Amino acid sequence: MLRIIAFPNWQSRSAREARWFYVFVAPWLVGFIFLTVIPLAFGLYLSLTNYNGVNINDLKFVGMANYERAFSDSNVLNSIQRTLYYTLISVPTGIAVSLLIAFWMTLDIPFKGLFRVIFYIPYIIPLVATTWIWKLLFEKNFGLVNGVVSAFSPGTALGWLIDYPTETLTLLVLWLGTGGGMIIFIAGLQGIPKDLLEAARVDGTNPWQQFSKITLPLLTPVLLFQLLLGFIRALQIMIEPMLLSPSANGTLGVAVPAANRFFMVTAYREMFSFNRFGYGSALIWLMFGTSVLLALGILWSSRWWVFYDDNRIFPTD
Amino acid sequence: MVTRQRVVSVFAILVLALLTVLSLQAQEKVQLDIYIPANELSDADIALFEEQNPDIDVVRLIETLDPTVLNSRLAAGDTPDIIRLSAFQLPLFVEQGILLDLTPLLTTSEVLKTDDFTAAVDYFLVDGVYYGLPKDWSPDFSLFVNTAILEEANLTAPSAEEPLSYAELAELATQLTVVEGDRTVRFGLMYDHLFIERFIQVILAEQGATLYNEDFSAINLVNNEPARAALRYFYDLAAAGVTPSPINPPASWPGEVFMGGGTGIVVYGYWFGNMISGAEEGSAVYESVAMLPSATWGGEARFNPTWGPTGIAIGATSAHPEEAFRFFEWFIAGDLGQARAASGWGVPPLKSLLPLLPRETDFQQANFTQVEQEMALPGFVIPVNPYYNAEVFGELWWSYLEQALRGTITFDELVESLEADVNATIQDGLLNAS
Repeated sequence: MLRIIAFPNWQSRSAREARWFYVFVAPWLVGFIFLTVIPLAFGLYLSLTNYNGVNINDLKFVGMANYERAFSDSNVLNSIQRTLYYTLISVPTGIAVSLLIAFWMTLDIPFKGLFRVIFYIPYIIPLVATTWIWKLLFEKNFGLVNGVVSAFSPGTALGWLIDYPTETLTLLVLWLGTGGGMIIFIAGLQGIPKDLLEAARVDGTNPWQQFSKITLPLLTPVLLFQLLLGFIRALQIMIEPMLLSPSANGTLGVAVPAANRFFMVTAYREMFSFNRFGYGSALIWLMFGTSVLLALGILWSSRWWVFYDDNRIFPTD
Repeated sequence: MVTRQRVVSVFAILVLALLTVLSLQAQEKVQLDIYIPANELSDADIALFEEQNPDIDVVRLIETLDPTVLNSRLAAGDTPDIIRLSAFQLPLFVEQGILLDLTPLLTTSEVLKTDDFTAAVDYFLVDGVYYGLPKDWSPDFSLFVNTAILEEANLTAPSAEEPLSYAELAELATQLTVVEGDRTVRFGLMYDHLFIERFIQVILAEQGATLYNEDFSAINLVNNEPARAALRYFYDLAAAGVTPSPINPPASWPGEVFMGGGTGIVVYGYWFGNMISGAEEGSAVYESVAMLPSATWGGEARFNPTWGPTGIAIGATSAHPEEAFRFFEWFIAGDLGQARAASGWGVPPLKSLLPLLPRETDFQQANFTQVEQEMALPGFVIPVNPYYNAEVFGELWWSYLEQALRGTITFDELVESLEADVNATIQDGLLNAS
């Protein structure tokens, strides 16, 4: 009995290891607690108050009012609709294009390395610079794209950024993100055992059968990763539509065309235009909850469609 | 006999004494935390102030404007000694008790005299209490006209003395607009749509009407005929493509478009003249711009106030209000205030500094004359609703204008939605008010 309640042996090897473990993780743990957990908890608290950016010493607790408001706010409901539309367009398109280019880049073609670099460059150019270039290209009255169009059809000026804002944004995001997706898919494709494909070829399968029966199933773990990231990024899109908006100079959020007022753009406007920081925090927490649920849903569904090459359906099985 | 040990001991004592004196001197210094960006308070400015005020250490909290820094300091209850803020922020800050009442300090100041204040200073006056001073301001409804474009259109430049009516301005702007197919080659008129609430208020004030009810608890648009007419004016210009709109936006902000010859007229303040002065030979605005009086709707009087100046205030919890006020005086009227006036990027808040405005070129002289002429108008402070930011009006206007111009809502619905949304924002502000 005495042995049970006795203090552990601090000199034991396991205790020493445990001590060193905590010593090494302590800097990260302290940072995580003070820079992540506490601000998050504070943000959650603010979402239950009437915080307007300056009344921190005079906060009123409003309970779930900010969350209830979100479900009856037509701006928010419309932004959810737009965000879903954008997500459903951009995520599958992004994955398909990245995969296609990655597939192409693994074939024996001349200047393969150069093409890989060219496709990857947009991914590493700062977002602000890229978006600025796109704005100049797609500007209605003086943009280069309309300049080319009007060379064939004088006087034509298409409102790319205002009449087709979501489509133009999708193109931009596709252009920006394809390089990153391509690299990951190339890594996935190169990890597929060549002997499997060789054996299939010997058995007389055609290229489509090789792709659909071998390559694609073995690529599903990478697809899962891309899908998760793609959905989270698409749901939280904010900076790109703001920067791409016409005449957004110094007045972010003001001139975002209606079709591009996504959920996070709406949350930003509520906080920084309307000074509804409490309400904006509630919107951000709703987005966080939705993202977590969606990620869990995708992970849960993966047991039926993600295949690991050691015959396990799920890596932990 | 002087031993080496004795020499070392004496030297050590001397060093210790010197360090003690220096540390005591350092302790006597007062530190001022200042929320002003580097482009308005440079390192050289700080060095000059510290040289003139050896008992004060200035710590500039930001390099560029960063509201997060200010918000964090306010949230932590650590209000900076000096705060840069706009007239739009002032009511909220006053309501929260963040700013120091400067009235007692101003009554004894040798540098800042209330009878030397220009009308723009009244933006920082709340219920007879001064909470700050603008660093500078401009008659922001002045018109800048590209005379080369007028000549190209065979039009004569409007008078620099007699103001255009808003109807005449619309007619002139329409004549200057150039459209080729779907493409707008040149807009006739541009203004900062974010500040349209300011335009409406001035137009209403000329007619003796108001935009808000007396206690600012509601905006009146739907049943306010002068306000509807003013909104209709800007709506019609946007619908006709004379001004940019959400469905035909400009390539950049109005000033830059004007500098590139993309609009014939732009509405801006005196400061914009300085930008034009810097235009290079061969550019679209080189020696071909005239600053004109503000347009008038017609009514009891014409006004050309500032939209809302930016200035500085002292934190109510400052541990060193006297030193902070010394900096305040220096920033407004001292070396830095004088240099700012001489730069021509705005009209100084003090009448005594007006002669410092640049007048080297004919253009600068003409602009100076315009400022004097517009300052002779009745002083008018555009009311600032304490319960919401006026830019919200501009943002909502732009949102609903897009829907109206696309035909998904009518103009009447635009007005109704605008009123409803602004009133909802005001209600939030009212609920938050202590």
